Amino acid sequence: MNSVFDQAQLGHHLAGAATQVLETMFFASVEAESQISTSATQLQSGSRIGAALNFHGASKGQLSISLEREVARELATSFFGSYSEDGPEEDCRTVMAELTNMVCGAMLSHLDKHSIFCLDSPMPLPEGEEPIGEIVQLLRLESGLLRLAFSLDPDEQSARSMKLDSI
Amino acid sequence: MSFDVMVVDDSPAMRRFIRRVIEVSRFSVGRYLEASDGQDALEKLEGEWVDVVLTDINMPRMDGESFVAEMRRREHLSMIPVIVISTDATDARMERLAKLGAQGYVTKPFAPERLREEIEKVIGVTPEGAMAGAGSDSEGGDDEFSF
Repeated sequence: MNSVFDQAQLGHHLAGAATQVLETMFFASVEAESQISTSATQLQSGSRIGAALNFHGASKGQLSISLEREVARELATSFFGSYSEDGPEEDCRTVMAELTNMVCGAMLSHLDKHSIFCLDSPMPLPEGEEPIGEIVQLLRLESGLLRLAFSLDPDEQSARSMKLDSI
Repeated sequence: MSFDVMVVDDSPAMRRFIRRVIEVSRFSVGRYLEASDGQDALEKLEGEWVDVVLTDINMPRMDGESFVAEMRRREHLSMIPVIVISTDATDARMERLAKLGAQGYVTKPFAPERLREEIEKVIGVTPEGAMAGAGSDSEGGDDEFSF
């Protein structure tokens, strides 16, 4: 079945992909989701950590994610079982990279099951920089807010005209 | 009976996670080998035998598709079952890997049970045959995982 996405649908799929990854691989509980405007800043002040990656193939674009550092530490502990020899800070960066990679893969797989995509290696977001993009989504975890931003390159098919093959 | 497993992934974190998942599933592992990409894996598999290879797709130097194809070309590696573990859940990618000779495919995110089931399926063992120490005194039951 083919249908057309609007931004709300894309946001819903983005949140769904993140929730699936968080609950399955990180054993985290996602309490709520909300779509916000790209200009809104409802995030708690304090130390946050983020990662971003570019994808290409049938579609090109970027996904970025940020989270309170303390929540990232909790996710790292769930993911690894304990801190590695690299220490909690490096584990946080690693976990953010893995989280970004998995959410992006799950999102793109949902959007088009018949096209090959490739993910570049996730890179850390500069300190203090929050994810921005066409679709911005907040997920409330037990102890913090996860912010996700998803964008397609301007020269690509716009998000509104992306085809959905199956959900 | 224990099984030798190789995990091929450029992410040390994912190799560590997969190892942990296999361990907590009480799958009986003999040797656990790791490689950071397809080329590294081929070098480590020279003169070695493992019972199953778990590989990522996106990796530097030699990616998962080239690695699977190369394994099937090399006589001494052609019989080793390969399971792909990837975030890519598209039909197109799965079909391509199956054509190249991968016997299994697990998409991330995955539950520990899913990975264990796929390993058991491709190496052709029953859950009872693959688990070590899964006696009646074990805690949590065979299908329970505690992280």
